Amino acid sequence: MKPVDFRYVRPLTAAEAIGALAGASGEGTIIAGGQSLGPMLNMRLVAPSLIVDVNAIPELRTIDETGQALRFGATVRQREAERSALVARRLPLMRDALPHVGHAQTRNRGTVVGSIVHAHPAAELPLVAVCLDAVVEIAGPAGSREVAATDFYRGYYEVALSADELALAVRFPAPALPSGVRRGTAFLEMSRRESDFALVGAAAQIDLDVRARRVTDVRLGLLGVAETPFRFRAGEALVRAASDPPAVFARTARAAADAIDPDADLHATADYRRAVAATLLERALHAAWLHALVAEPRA
Amino acid sequence: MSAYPVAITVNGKRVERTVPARRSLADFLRDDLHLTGTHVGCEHGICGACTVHVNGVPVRSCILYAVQADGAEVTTVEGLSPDGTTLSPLQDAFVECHGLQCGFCTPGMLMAATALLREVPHPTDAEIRDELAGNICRCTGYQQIVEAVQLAARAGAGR
Amino acid sequence: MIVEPPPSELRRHRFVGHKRRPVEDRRFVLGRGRFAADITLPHLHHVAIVPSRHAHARITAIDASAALALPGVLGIVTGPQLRARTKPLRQYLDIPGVDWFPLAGEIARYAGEWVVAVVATERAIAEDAVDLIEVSYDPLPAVLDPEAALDPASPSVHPSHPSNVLYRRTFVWGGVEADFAAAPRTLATRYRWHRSATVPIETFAVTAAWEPGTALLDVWASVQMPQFPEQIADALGIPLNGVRVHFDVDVGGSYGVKRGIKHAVLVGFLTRHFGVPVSFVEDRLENMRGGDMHGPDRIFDVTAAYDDRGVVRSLRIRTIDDEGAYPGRSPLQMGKPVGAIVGAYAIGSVEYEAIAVTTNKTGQVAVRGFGQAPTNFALELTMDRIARDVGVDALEIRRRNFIQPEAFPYVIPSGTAYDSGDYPAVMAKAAALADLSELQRWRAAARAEGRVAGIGIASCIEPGGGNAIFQALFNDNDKTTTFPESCQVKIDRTGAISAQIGIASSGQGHETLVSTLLGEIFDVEPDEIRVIHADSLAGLPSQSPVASRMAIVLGDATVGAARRLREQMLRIAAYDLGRAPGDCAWHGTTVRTKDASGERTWLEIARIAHLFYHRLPPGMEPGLQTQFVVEVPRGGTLPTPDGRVQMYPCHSFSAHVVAVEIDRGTGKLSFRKYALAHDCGTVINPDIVRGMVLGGVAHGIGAALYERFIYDADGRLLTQTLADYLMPTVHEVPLVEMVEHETPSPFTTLGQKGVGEGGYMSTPAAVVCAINDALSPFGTRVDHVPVTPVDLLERMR
Repeated sequence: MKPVDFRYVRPLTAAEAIGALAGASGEGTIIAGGQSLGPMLNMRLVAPSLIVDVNAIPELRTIDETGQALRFGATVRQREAERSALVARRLPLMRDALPHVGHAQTRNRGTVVGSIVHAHPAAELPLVAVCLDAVVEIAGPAGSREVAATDFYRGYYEVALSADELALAVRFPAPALPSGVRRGTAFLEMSRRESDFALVGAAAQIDLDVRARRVTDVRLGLLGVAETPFRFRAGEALVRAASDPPAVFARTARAAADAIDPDADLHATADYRRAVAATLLERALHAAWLHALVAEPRA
Repeated sequence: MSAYPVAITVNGKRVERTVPARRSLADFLRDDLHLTGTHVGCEHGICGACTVHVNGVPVRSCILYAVQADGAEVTTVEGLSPDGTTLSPLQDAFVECHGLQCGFCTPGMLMAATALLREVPHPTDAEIRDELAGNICRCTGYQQIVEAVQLAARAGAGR
Repeated sequence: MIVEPPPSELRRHRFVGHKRRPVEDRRFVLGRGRFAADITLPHLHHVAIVPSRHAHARITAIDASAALALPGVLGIVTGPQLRARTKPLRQYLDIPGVDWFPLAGEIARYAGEWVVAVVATERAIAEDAVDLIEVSYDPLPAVLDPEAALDPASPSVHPSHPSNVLYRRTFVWGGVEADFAAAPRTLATRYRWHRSATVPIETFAVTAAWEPGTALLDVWASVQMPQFPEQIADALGIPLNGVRVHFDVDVGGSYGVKRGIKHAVLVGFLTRHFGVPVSFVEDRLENMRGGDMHGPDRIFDVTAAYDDRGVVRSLRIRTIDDEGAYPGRSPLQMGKPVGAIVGAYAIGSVEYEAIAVTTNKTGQVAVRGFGQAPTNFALELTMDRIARDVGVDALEIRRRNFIQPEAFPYVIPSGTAYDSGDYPAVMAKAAALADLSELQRWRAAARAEGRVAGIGIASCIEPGGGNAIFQALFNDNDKTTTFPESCQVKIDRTGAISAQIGIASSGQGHETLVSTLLGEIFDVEPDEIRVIHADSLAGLPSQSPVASRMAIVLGDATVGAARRLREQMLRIAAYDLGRAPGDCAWHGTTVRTKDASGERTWLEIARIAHLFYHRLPPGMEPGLQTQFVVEVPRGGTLPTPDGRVQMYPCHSFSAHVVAVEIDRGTGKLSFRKYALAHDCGTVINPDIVRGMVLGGVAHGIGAALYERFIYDADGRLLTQTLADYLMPTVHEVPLVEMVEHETPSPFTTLGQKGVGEGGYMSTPAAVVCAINDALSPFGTRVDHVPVTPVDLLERMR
């Protein structure tokens, strides 16, 4: 399984990368981590005439704190994010999701932004991006633009990024928690084997005003239940409105089952995905709640 | 056919070749450098038989192209022995525990385990399993491989 | 990781049974294995394949003009070209007209079947050429289900054959009807063993070079197959002594499947056709969908007749096997189980109907166990159903039915005598190792909390020896009864020992086996003994390392050769000392007169043999070398007209105890405990035996829970890559505790039996028995493999 032949460039600036893509008339592809693109190239599922390797562009390599956000450059490795104390502190939901992404080895090369842009329907990082209202920063021949993660996913592997554009970074809002508020997170998956793509998964983040025992913010999401990451806003509303949140977790999970219309495939039926998505969401809610109760208050 | 010059340091020795862009690092090592210890099992990044170190980090060489490794340092299984004959402590542990049978996945396992022990000289069972989860073996059922890594850790292989 | 030491009476061995580092391991950890794809030759060219897009279609046109114009492409070969100049590949059933060639002719019979072979200077260029070849097809209706294939109205896969049923025979051994009539209870179950295979990490690879100067075809292949050189020679029309298969190629795992005969014949044809050496290394797609390397794909209907205590009187077993489009040796996988058709149980009569059908899918091949794993699955699950019906537990039902230790050799209804065994003792060891009573407490506590927990117990007979008399059983025209193995040993003028074996190894440690045995007989350090793999011209008769046979037959050949040489050395020493051989004896590696008046050392004897002819006994050949060829023990008889025959000579045995828990909300299964007891007679190398058993268990877990070749409604393989065909990683295999027991075989030189297939034959049964125990509170069960979380969730609603 060898790819079709292609031309290869490894520019040193984003502008050069965009120029190279523009010159390839839509037949160019960016390579960053290569963990998704490599297999596709080898199996000739894609046949670009040009590969633009962005791994040598210095400004894409870092995780930066910018104001109230954490910004991941396009070539930040999943493994770096996994080990980052900054990510653990400021984006605990991503910290919970990362060990589920591929294998330890693939996380050595695979990138945070790459996974978000590749948009596999069962991938973890796109769901985290959608749940946390991340923003994708894009550069192209016409200049720069930004797209909210919630607008970024159009369909099965389809994103709002054209063939001549480069995703430079993804920015996650990470404002400091108000005083007295604790954050609990959980990310649960069901997969056939431990490190496989998930059949379904659930993400939950609960911000809890401990003294008032009131939920100030909640983020809920499901993966593997639709063509794109599923942000369950109706469920978030249910939980936020509840005076005794744990008492509504089961109902929230049932509402999720009613709100989704999953596909069947080789590995799972639609009914299975629906039932297990609900089960995992309920478990994630309880886990996030407990986590919030016992977590140290975060700055 | 495309042709790109690459300069890669392999097992401490700098090599310069011209390769097509589409040649994987695995094929480059095997065919251009005749280092056939790195094996190809799937060519889609799943089985891990092709694992090598690139700049010290274990990666799948079947989905990395040689042109991408231009300027990098690559270590293969052939580079684990200090002189090509003496076994490293980890290699010795694999033989002591019979952590292999057909030998096809073995180079990948050794590269993954070597990286683990370098970073975590005394890994827990769970840490060993997590690191090796990306390498498939069909012969051993893994148990004797895990025992080999545990033995190597006790023998100070990570130092 | 405690492996129980062998019983004290066997400690008399100096090397056999003791820990010893396998000699092969060193080159593999250095990355210096020599696998088929590692072999380079000058002017080596490479092959890529155009596969059929359709499950069944007439091929109407092939346009390769663009491909042939590509720089680096040497040429292409189509099916009609190949078929005009080769003979069809061997069929073991009597099915004239069912012709199997490496390339499709006018009709493509499965999606993925090889249609055109491209030869180029590089594999990547050959693949570029494949993309440029246009094949036109007229699709035909396809048959994709084994029971549909039974219907005479189903689309015909091979029109030259009267139907899609390639083989059908019913065997009746013993008074089945009377036993059923007399039995108070019967129950019937249908089991489905879905298609999977042992899928090695190394795909099949073969390089062939035709040398016109010597009219010799050299072949290097990643192969595990009996009569591989014979079938190449036959198909290509070359004299058998014009084919040289190099067995010193390291094989990256096989577990049965690396037959590769169509790959080898194709490449052998190409090298002769194009006049350059040619190499074909299957890529993963070619392997999964078109390598003809799938395993058993079975439906079982089992009816058991038993009494109120659960003692089984009789069995009716009907099995349908979906061979795919081109059967080859695979249907015989319904024949080998005849040699252990009652498992470990004293069942008096059996009716066995075996049906092989052809469908429009890739072909089947031999898989670890050669049909015993699915058969044992059906048998063990039936025992558990019986247990539930009469109200006893899984351990007790087996105790009540086991063949007892004093009954050996025990002849089962189909004519095979089991050589030796102590099933109750091995089962008791497994139960003790598992701490069965603690597991039962755990299960009760878990169930009280509403959790889903179960314990499974399975036993398994592992026949060993490879008396492939099932060939004759399934084909009256096949009268082969010779299934040999050989060892050549020589001692050179420096006293160093070398041995030559005529097989390729795929991880079984044959070099270690042979050097250990030689070391034992000669009383020489085994690491000083060199074992090499001959090629097929220099080597002697062999049936290849299949059927858990090598410890048995290669073991016997090795011991025979060593004893013969040792006896010769003693005679040389005696003669040189002026004494009768009876007056002398070995002390270590020295021959000494019994009155201690004189001695000759090993080196002195070797030098006499090689250099001092005047000191040799008159008439003795110079040098020290011998060859020893054995027939499989107890082999050499054809089946009776009603299909009774002594199949394999030796019978290893395992008992597995498994505890599982199933997540009620997701159907995910996790292991609480996996313990087993294993008896392969005399153990030669404990680490190799342990590795074989644990590896078999992992394969079994794959078959039980993860692996399946899934086809869509159009007959296209959906699970073509390792992303969809799921093989267990380290996370999916639990810690397995293992204890050995040794019931030696009376039929081998050191009491050794076979090892290698037992884990795979036992584990699917043990795991699904545990699942069914876990599901019993719900009143549901599973009767198929693989069992998925979807299956489990459905059964817990």
